[in-house]
Amino acid sequence: MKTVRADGGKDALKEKLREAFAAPAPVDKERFLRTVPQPQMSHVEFMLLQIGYMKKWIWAVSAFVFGIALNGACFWNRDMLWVIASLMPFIALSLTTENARSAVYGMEELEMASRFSLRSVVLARLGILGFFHTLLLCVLVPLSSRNSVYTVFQTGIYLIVPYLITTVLSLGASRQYHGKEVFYMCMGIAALVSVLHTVISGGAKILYTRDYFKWWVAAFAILSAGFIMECRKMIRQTEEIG
Amino acid sequence: MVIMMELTIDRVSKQYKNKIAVDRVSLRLTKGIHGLLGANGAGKTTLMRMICGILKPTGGTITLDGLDVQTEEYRARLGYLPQDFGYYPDFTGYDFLLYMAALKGLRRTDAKFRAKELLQLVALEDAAKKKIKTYSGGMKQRLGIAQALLNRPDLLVLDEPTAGLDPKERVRFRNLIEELGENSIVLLSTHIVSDIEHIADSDVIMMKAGGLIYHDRWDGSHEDLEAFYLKQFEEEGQEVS
Amino acid sequence: MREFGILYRYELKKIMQRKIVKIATVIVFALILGTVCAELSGNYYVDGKVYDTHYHMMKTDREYARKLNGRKINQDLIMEMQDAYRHIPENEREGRYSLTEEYQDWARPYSQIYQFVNMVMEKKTLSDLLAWKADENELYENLGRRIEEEREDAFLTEEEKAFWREKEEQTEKPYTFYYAEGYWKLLYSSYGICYVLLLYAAVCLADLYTREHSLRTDQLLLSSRLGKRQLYWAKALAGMSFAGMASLILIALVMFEVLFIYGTDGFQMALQYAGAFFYYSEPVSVGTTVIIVYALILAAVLVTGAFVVMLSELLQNGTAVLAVVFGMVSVTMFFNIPPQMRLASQLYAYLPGKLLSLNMGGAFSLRLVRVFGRYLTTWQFVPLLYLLSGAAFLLIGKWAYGRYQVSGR
Repeated sequence: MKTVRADGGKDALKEKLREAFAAPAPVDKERFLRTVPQPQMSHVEFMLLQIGYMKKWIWAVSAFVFGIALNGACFWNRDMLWVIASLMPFIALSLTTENARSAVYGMEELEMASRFSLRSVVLARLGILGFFHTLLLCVLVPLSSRNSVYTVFQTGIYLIVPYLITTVLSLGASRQYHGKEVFYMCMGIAALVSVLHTVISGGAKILYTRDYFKWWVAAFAILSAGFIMECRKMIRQTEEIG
Repeated sequence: MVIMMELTIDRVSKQYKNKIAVDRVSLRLTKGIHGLLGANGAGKTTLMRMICGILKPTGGTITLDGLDVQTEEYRARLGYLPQDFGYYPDFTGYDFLLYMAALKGLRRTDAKFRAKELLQLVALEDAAKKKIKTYSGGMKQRLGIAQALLNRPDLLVLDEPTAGLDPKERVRFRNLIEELGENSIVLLSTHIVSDIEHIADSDVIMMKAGGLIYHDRWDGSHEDLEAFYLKQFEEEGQEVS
Repeated sequence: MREFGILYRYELKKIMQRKIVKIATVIVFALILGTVCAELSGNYYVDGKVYDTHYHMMKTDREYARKLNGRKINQDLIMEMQDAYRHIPENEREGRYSLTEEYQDWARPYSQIYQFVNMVMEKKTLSDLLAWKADENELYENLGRRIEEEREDAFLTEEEKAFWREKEEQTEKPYTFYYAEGYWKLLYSSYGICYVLLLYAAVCLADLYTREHSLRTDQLLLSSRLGKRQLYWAKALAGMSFAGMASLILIALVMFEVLFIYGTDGFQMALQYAGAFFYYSEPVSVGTTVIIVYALILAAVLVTGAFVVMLSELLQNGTAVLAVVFGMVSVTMFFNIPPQMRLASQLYAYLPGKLLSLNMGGAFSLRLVRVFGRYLTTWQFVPLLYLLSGAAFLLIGKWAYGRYQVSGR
């Protein structure tokens, strides 16, 4: 008589039991599933989820600028206003390129037709980055004015204007162009604004005296209005395919 | 629970500066497969985009069981595969489906399960972890079909879905469409007449110069669809059935 | 040749039609021309009250300086300057003496001579300078001593020191003073203008080739008869000539603006007169130096253009090219290599972003290069270097262009 090993026998028994009690294949599964309400994601959850899809370099640039401001102001005791103001265009670049991603990669059509449409995606990106940049500015302004002769208000204006110039020009450009050329345009604009600011703040310091401050405030007001207009145009563009 | 499904397109038009792309089209589509045929520039893609809410009609209304096309609830029941779509180059196939699932409002756990299910359905499970930029044209198209099915749509709009698929993949696709047509309204446009001809019990909608010239069930007892299609474009002043 | 000419014209047209090129051109031209003389705008304030306008102050100083045109900075002139400054009351000499009436009436006409003498003699205060017994020989001996110190600090070889000593003997002493504010202004603005133009060239050219790939026209171009060879050179030439022409126009406009406002006189003023160049023993005038500097800017723009062409074909990504060029130019702006690291710091000084820093590490560095038995100064050597590097960049770019395979679509 052949002896059956306990472990081999247990496996065979398990297999036999599985065959005998196999669940029947589902019938009309799709129709059944349609009758069961599926739990849906809320708008807040969707917005927070978008953070995970944002490019890592956006946070890296902001951390880099913050690091420079902190080191320069607190450890090297230097006037960091001009350096940080020249770097602001690259923080603005993160906002403009992130918003242009759907258009650049041809995802607009798919995203427009989804429950959380392209409009929601763009608003989420704008909202998250806008909030984050506001926080960053609240930290950069006191750091930049720490060793500077300018007041906090003046410092804020001198920091925000290059940021707004970059965003207004880049958002305008990204509405008119498609494909990877948009990234190139935005990068080119940011680099130009940064370089020109560096050169002008070094060679034409008179523009930063109080005689001219009213022009800076006027520029801030005009650019802020321009920024709002560009955002509105961009959001309007998300409602319909071009 | 019986789910009503009726897509009502009521005198929808789309006019550009000096061209009427879609001219007062009216349709009522219920569960099943509806093939949209027409020459290039006939207005098929324009009509489909209006149905998907990504293009605003200049006149008329589009509703799905009373829901207006511009509402979130309408889009929640919609699945769309555009004719030519892009992708984020760093995404893998799986990442792409999860991202689209998020846009469709699916929760993470459901999205993961559904993505795996669909990758298996379109035979992309081996390529799921590879970046989309390495996919062939046919693989991208299959991925596009998968994303359209993520939210189990009641209305599935497919614009040239078989473009880039080889004959074997086209047969698989037809079988899949037949199954989907049992539970959803499926509207697909194609230049490949045989795609519609070989799908059982499908409607045929023909467009020409922005207007409808034919809409009826095609049950195969008619003559060859391609010959019939070509005849429609030879005859002038054909009325919509 | 005719075919090449047609291709060149089309490529130039493509560049000029691009919106980013138009935007960049308008921004760069408007901001540079609008701010190059910005320090003359607005008012000069004293204790919160308007004292004078900057423009009027410049005109006043110009008038005074022109009265000294052609005079040698010798014993007589030094003593005249000291006598004029002695009118300033003693109790005012350590404070804001430039606001006193005595300064405005007597001393101000000699302010440029005062600045030169003070720079050479390194006196800490006005009182110290007035206490010094004016001595022309001592002045120029001190200058010579300081020049020798700079040569030591620059870690020069004995042959290099001998070269500069020989040059020093050729310079005319005592210096003859000329009002040359326009040329000084052009010199001191050149660094910023160069920096902007380098980036401008990068913005206009970085996606010259990559655009064909992103627009998917590369398949048509590369499969055509002229597509693999002539087209590459036509594009490169169109890109570089566009950047060069735009730079030349901007430079001409800047020169016109500055010299129109400040005046064209003083071309022949010795370069060594200025504090930033006192160590530079080459017998060259400030006017000639301006021409050299702006010619170097043009050369820097052209070699950067060639570099961008090469990089765009190697990286296949216009944005990455821009980032690299911007990073390189910015690093050269903010960082230095210590002069003790002789070779590294000398090579670093040849980079376009560093060359126009116009100090001892830049185009007017004391370090020399031996070429075929002859010593060349930095500004003499660099054009040759740029010509060779530019050619090398273009050849590498051509190699990468020829190897490109259309795939992944």
